[in-house]
Amino acid sequence: MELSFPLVGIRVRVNDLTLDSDEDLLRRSAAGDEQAFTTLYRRRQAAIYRFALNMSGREEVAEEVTQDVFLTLIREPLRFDPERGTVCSFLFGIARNFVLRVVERDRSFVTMDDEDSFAPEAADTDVLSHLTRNEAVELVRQAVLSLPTVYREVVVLCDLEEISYAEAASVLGVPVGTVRSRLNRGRALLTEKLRGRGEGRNAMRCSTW
Amino acid sequence: MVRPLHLLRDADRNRGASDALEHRLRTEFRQRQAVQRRRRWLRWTGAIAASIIAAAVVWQIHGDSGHNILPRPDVLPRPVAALPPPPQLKASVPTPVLSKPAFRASNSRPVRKAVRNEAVSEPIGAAPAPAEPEEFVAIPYAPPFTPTDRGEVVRVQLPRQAIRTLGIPVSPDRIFEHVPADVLVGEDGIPRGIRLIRATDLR
Repeated sequence: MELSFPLVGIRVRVNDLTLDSDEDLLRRSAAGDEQAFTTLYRRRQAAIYRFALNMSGREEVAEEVTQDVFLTLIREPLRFDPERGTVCSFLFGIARNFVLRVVERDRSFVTMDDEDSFAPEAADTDVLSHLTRNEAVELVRQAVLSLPTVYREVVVLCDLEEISYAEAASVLGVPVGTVRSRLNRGRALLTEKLRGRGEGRNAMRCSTW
Repeated sequence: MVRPLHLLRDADRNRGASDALEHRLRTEFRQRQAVQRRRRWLRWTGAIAASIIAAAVVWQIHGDSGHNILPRPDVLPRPVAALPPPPQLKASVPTPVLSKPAFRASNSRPVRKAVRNEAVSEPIGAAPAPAEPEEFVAIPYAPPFTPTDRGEVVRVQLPRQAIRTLGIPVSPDRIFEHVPADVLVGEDGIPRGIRLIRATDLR
């Protein structure tokens, strides 16, 4: 990477790959630069792993999907088209395909609630105030896992991984408007699920005490 | 709704794939690069070898026709006849008819037959059968030669190794021997076709 300081007329060539863009790293990786590949892997593996984990609910699947994504990057680096999105969305797109394949294979693992019975209510209700942190995390994780796939993926991408709507649209291959509407509906579904589970857990606690 | 999700996001912030996965992927990357290097090397070597063979064939043909590089006492390279315009050509020299290369059309019988017949020894005392003129075999990747084009037929001695590039089977025992052949050279000096000469035709 090259840093320039025009005021003092200095241009410095920095050999730190962590400052390079994903596109540069991918290009160098495709040309056989192992250090560039490692840098790109270290930068993006956690997000891919978490995406796969929150989509599948299983660590072994998350590990497997992360491996498959980066193997694809090693074997077919030229599949990336900069005109269709960023390297990040490209990686998420590959991960999504692998995850959906696994989810399809193990459909029985995730329990899907009946979507038609959903009745939207006011969001952002503090339903977790009485739960311990770990319980709350597990509760949210289970609630996310129980979302239908189309809503789960936008919630995981936009809310958990915090990628932009445009990038999410690129990953999912849908318009940005669809991402927004799915996200709203996914959040509302999640609120409903958390409310139900939180109340159930609270009732159980009360009876125990 | 955002707050519970932030709770989950913060809890997972430090999660990631294992170090063993990074090690596996780096190993795979190295192996992949090694394979690609090997393939690249083979591709270049093959291209260079093909260029050398092609250059040798062209050099042989041009060398024989122009500078008499491979003189042999029995069959000296000499132009058979300059091709006149097509109507007059029929009388003196048979119009060169280009057939497809042997490796493209496996039914180009005349050429294969010529090679086979050469290997078979004739019975002593048998009268040689009148030989029919063989078809010219088009040289691959050369510009097409139409009957209205003018050219020159040059008799040369081709190494059997060069004949193999035309897809004609050659006995490995005789690979260094030479075979008489007529080369059809266009007006532009580019060889267009090759016709192998039977041993009987030479007599």
